[in-house]
Amino acid sequence: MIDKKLIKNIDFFLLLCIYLISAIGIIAISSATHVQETGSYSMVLRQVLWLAIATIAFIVIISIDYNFLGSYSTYIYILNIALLLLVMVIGHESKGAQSWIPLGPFNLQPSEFAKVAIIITLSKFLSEKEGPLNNLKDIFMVLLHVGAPFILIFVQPDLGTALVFVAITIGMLFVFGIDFRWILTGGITAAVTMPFVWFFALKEHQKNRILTFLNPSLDPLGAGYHAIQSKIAVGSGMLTGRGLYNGTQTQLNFLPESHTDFIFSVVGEEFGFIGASIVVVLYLIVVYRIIRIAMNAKDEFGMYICIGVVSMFLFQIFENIGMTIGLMPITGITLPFMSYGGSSLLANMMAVGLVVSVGMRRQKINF
Amino acid sequence: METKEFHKRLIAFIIIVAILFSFILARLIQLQIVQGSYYREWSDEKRLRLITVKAPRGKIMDRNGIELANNRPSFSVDIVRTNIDDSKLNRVILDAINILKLNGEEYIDTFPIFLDDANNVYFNFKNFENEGVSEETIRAREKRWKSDHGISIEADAKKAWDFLKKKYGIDDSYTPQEMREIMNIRTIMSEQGYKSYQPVTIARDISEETVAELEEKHINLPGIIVDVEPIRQYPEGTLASQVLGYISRIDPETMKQLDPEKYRPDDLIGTVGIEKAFEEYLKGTDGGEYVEVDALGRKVRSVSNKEPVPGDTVKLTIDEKVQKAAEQSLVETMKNIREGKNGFVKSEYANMGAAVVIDVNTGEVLALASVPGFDPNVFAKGSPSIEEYAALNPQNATERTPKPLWNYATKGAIPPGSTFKMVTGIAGLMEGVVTPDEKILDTGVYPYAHKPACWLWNEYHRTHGLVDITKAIQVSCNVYFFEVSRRLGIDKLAEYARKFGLGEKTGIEIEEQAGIVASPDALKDVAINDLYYIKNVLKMINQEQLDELAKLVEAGEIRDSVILKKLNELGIKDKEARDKILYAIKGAQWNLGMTLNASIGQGQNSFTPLQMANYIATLVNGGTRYRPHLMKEIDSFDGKVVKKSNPEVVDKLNLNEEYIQYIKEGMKAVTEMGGTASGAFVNYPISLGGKTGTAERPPYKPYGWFVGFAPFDKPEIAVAVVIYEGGSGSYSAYVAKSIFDAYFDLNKPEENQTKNNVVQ
Repeated sequence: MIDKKLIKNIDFFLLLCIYLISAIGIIAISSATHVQETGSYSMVLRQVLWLAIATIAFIVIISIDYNFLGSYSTYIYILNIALLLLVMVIGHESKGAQSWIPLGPFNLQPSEFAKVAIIITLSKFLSEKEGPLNNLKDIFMVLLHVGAPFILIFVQPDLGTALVFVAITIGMLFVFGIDFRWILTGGITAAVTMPFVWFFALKEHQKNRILTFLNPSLDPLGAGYHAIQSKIAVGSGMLTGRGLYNGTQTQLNFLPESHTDFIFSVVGEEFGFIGASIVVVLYLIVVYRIIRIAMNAKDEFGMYICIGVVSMFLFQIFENIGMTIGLMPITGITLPFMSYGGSSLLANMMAVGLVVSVGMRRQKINF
Repeated sequence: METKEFHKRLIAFIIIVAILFSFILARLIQLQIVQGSYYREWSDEKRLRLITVKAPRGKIMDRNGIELANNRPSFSVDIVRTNIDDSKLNRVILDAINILKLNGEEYIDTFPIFLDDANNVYFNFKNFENEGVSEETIRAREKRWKSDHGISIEADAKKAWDFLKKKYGIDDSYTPQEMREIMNIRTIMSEQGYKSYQPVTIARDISEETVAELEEKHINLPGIIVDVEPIRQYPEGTLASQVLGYISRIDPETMKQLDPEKYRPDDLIGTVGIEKAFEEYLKGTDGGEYVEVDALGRKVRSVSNKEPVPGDTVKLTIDEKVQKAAEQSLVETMKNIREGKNGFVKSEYANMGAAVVIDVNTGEVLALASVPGFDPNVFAKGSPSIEEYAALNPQNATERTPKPLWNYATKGAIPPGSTFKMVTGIAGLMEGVVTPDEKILDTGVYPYAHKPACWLWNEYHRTHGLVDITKAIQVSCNVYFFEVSRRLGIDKLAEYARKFGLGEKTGIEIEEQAGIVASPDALKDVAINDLYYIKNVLKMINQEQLDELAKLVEAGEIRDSVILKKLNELGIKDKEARDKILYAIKGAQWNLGMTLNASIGQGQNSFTPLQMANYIATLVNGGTRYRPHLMKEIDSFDGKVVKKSNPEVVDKLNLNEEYIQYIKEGMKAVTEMGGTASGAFVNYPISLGGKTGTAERPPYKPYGWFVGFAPFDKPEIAVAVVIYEGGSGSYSAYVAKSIFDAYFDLNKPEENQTKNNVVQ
């Protein structure tokens, strides 16, 4: 099925780092969900199960030539938009955002998969163009391409995830090459359209969430509180941490959402600077290895995929860790491979699958 | 592929990555290494704490802005766990409770394990404030309480007691009573769930002396915090108390259904009346403050804070002046009746009464009085004493026992007596069974059915002679209405009663009862209720047998032979059971006598004063039935209109204006010389219409009704007054007079003077 040479070309070091991060994540989830107190491992088990499912998805993805996937780019794009529209209709709401499709015992979050889908389709689009990007039609096409899923997710409202799309686009266009003038124009266009979205498309509670994101002091007992408690948690970990299951901020529920958005705070509190910096270094290795694969990719399509994926990870890592240590404002962005959640784990592993697939097939002519 | 270009950009990318990651690492070093011990200390001492800042409850005002419910600042005692061990915490709790007790303060006690005289423990999950709770609810409550506190479901009181004693590290040096006090507070603290490190209120509205003592001893009371919080206040005391309702602690069942973001278990919530109906508006949004605290749990500085948003102001349609007049006059008139003064025939049981005033053109309720009332301030702390509560809700109450919490105006459905006769009259005219000019001969004794007589015949053996509709209403001639109803039939009569909204809920915002319109269907319901009584209470039949028997009732079966045959088929052999069932089923048979009774507002007919007032309003405004309502407007605390009520038409009756006029003329004559309400209204400066009713309700003395409207030509308000066991409706007319006086501002200056003196 898969050529032996291809298997030899798998970046096993990258995978090792990712599984290490996932393992640390699962341990942190067990602490955040109080397994030693409640004796209930259900969330830990779910996460392990999702990791197994994600691994299968990963294997499936690397078995397929990414260029084969690229040839279905149009269909992937349509399916993606359809899913996002579906979630608007039948999705159910949690924590103020309507972003879930109930699927038997699980809930699926299409916006997570949308990120991967857009990486594939935008890569395909850019690989067929010549950079730098400097004609109106192409720019319009890029904006339309990313704009549609962006707006659908923005109105859920899931501003954090929507911003990931912006990060992906900026990262890919940066490598593609873009005239500075067009960045300016893009900024102005966004500034002009935003008021329309604001006044006509958004509901009151969506506006409030966005306002709070932009200015967390508007919600001093919500986001402001989370920021302070998280800083106390991480800081109180000191050099070696309080030890697993001994972090008082985590165990006494001072930390909100500690198993999802604030999982890094749990690591910081219980494993200290040593644990936290190990995680950071592991992420650094992951990011670096992906960029290296991009450099050696055999074609532009493959390179753009890697850049899209790395932009996505980089933004999420920096924003998520940044918010737990007071560098960035609070928003609902998960930490890849660590935060509890099946959809994001699955989507992230699929993204890694694409990258590994590009790396496996880097020799231009093998036969 | 311009590889070189891409390569350059990718290198740039790597540099950006390196910069971002070094930011993170630098920040981690700063937080965890440089400032680590600082944050460790914060974390250890729980130096950061959320203090809930309670939002003041929204005000309730009358239509002119007079405050009927507002708030005043008060001191409350909170407790929060500081960094102390169990034994110290238990000591602190007991010391604090002892200070409260010695100062005679009430404190919150929700602990379901009690001690008897011999210090044996037992469970009681019944809260004295809500005596209506079912066994099922209590069992569920017990189960939930046990699971909330980690007690096994089968545990008896003793086991639970021992478990909690161990859990909270209560040593044996305490007496059982002291242990109970500690467990009470400890369980309240733990019920906060994940907010268990947040302060919880244990006593409200404590005196300044108590505050001083707590402050003085605060060094020895770590975690005991005195806080200022708004407390509900009803400046007018008992005025409109059943309309306003009251607030109380949230029972566990209700708490489960509330948004935990909005309500805390130690909050108070509107339980009855306007306080309940508009809870979502009145509640407001609590604010909060993150404070850095010292080792005693006291605030050092504020870290961040969110101002509370006070609840919305609910402006009622009630006119305080009219409401007050209605209540005062009811009290006065009832007293006169009880004492036989003012020329009234003495009736010592005239203890309850109600009055309702409605704007006939909008359905706005201007006054809704129920006497006796209660002082809702008793409930404002959320912890009325058992004695206070028992006084308001008497045990072993009979029909004669006044129940201050009961709203007689909306929940007291009683026979309307002669005040119902306008329904019979308008129905007869509209259906054409009688013309306005037709004169019917009062023969004294009516020759049909059980041969009932007119009241005049019963009292004086005289008759009214030939009467038409106007005269019939003026003199309240029973025979005239007997005859009209006989011609109409019960179905038409009941239909008209329902058109006027009688026997169905009016849709007012507060609690009310539907009442009953006398009709064959209502009678069948009674029979089926009797069968249920035979099944559920006497346990003489089972559900299957009941279903079969109910079919006989529905079919209108009255033949003994058929019923007895059925009883045989169903195998019901017990003599007593057979007699009871036979009696119940045959009781469902409608007869003409019942129609005649219904026509004069007797028999099964029973309506609330609110329904009666609204029926008069509907009649005199030409047949438009509005939904009576109490809310005029809701404003946010800073004066923006949140909601406004508009007149809501429930039904258009399409009554003939001319016919209404004949009826109204009759009602006018009632208030004039020779009418039954002339005593109250003779020489009254405003012309009006009315009708008295003296409703029979054996074994009680007659209930005195008066319904009326004014001004006669262009009616503005409709009034219904009833005094239980008042003896005569003409006495109730005096209450209506006071109401009209207040509404039309007819009080003479000197009269005002004396009234004010009385109030003071």
